[in-house]
Amino acid sequence: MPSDAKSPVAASILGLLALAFVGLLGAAALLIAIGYGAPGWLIDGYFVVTLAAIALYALLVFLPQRRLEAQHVTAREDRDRLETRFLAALERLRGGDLTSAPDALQGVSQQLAGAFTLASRSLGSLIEQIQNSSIEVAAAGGGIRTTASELASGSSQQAAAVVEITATMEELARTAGQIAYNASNQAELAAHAETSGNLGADAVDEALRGVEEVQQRISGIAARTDTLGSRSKEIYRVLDLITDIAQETHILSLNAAIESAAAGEHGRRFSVVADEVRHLAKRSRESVESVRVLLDEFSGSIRATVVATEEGGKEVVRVLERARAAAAAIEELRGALTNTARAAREISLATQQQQGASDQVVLTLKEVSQVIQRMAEGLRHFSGTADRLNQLALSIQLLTQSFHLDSPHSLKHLAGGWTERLAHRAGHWDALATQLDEIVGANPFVELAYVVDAKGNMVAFSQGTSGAAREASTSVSVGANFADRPWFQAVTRDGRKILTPLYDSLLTGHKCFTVAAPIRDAQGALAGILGVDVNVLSWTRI
Amino acid sequence: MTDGKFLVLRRSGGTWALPDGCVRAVGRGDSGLRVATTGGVLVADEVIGFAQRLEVRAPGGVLAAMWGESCIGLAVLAGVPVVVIDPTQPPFALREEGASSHA
Amino acid sequence: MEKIAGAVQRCLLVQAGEQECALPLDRVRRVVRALQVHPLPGAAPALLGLAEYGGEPLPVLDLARLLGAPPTGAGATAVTVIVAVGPRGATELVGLAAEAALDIAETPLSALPGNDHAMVVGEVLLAGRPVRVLDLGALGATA
Repeated sequence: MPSDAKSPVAASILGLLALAFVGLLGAAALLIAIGYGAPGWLIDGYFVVTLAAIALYALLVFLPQRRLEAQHVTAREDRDRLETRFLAALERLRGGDLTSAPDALQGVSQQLAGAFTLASRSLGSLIEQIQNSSIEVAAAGGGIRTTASELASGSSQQAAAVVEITATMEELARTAGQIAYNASNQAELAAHAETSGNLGADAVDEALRGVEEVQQRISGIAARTDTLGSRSKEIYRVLDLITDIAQETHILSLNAAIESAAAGEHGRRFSVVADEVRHLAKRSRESVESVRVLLDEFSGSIRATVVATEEGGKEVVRVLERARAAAAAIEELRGALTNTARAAREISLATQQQQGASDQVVLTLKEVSQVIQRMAEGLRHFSGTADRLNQLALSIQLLTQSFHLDSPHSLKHLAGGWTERLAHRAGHWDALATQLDEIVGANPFVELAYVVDAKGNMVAFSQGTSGAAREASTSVSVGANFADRPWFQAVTRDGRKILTPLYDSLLTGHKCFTVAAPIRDAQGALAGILGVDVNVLSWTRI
Repeated sequence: MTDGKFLVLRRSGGTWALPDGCVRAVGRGDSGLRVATTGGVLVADEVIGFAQRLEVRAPGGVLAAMWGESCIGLAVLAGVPVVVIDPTQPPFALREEGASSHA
Repeated sequence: MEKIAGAVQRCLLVQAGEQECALPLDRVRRVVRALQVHPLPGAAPALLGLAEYGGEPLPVLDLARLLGAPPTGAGATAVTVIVAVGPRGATELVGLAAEAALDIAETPLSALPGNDHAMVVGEVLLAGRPVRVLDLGALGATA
């Protein structure tokens, strides 16, 4: 008995038992009651009630129960059927077919079918989104890789430029070093000349000082001569004064003599005095005269000295001028030398600075070069990451392609379309090539489209007309057997469209995968297998 | 003539004196001053003024020998020698005719 | 002072221009510094002018010119010798402008050679120098 039928039966049995128990209890109670003298009508009543209860039971419980049981069985059968259908639909879903839901769910309640359809539709759209996103990601990955390779080439260009600049800087540094060397030589020479100039200047200074000393002495002499001159003038004045006095005295003495003469005898003694006074005056005059002579001589010599010192002074002035001119010339020379020395020092300093600067530049360039290297490494890493991203995207893409969606991006869907078209030609393989050409022409991502028969023999093929496929030469030929290929075996085994993992195309060398789909004849038997080699790069460009 | 006022004037570098009584008037002329005297008109460069007293000495032989003019005498006024003249016989320098030949 | 035998007279020796003159001392009144002379228009060349001496007017003569020699330079007459000229008893004072009053000397009274001028008595040699001895009595009387 099915387990789900157990409970109602058990319940009815239990009910019956309960009823029996209650009946027995009632009977017991009745008996007891009779025992105690209960009226006879109680037994009748009890029997009526019991019967009524049993009848009620049968009506209300037993019969519905039997009905329920029958319903239960029917429901169970329905459920089994549904389950089978659902399982088939799920099986289809498992196979990646998101399009066949409506067919599978015939006979299932609308709500359930609707819900299933909705679920498979949302799943399908999700997968489509994933497909699109993965295409975008793959494209992005491709773009990143392109950018990274561009950057890498750019960075290699930069590295080359850095090498060039470094070479130039080193050349510059060498030149600067040369200039610095020359400049330091120049500075040395200039310093040497400066020293000589200093010595020369010192000598001239000494000479100048000597001459100036002489000049000062001469000035001193001239001053003293002036003093002497003025002193002698004073002396002359004094002499003049004395002379005046002497003259006065003389005149006085004469007058005295005159008076004494007039006084006659009485004036004789006076005349003696007068004579003495006259002699005194005369002597004074004579002394004054000798003094004057001496003074004249002295004045003459002073004048001569003055003249000589004037001449000497003039000579000294001339010598001074010449010495000063020499000093000025030396000073000019010194100035020029100082300028040269300063210029040389400045050049030396500048070149040192330049050297320092170019060293700095070289260091910086080295750092830049290191940065560029690191950047290149990073880019390579980046490129690797981009590659991995690309591959990841492709893996996702392939995963999504394993779903059969009702979408132009679903290869299985496309393949389904193609096999339908080719199915009309099943058994007649001659015009297949044209069909294949059409397929290939309409889909640039196809490298190679081919059909093998049920045994795996190549019947027809068409090479891709765009991209790398166009240029490559194929090794595929009609009649070759591909029964050992995994795709052939998978399709033959599972009877479903399959996608192979990525491989390197023999044709183009690019990453490829193959979509293989079964071609069924009118009876539904496997007539052949369509294989489409998809170029990943071209596919992700869609 | 030791007393009496004299008019003292200068002419041609010399100092002259006229007895006051002879002087009539003093006025300005073309070339100096004109002194109208009893003896005639005399010319002067400058009239100094009146001297109250002059002690007049005789001219002396040397003056007479060395100087052709006649005069009353000589005197000293304020340290300056003065020739006292007779207006009727004035020296050539004081005469109007002598004005043109004034040196 | 030279002692000369015979009658001598004491004289004042003066420098008049180029020559030395001896003025008899008894005629000489005073030797003074050159007096300020006020010129007299119309005077003879030898009469320099009038000066004031002791409050009295004094004619001043140029001694060198008097003797017929070139006149002494204007600034060279350093002294004026006050002398009494004219006949004795009727002397008048005049001033004789000379270059210098040199000395007192004695000159002989006897006749001397060289009296070529009314005023010159003669010429003597005093200390090797020719000296003209003058006679001032003639002065003033010469009209």
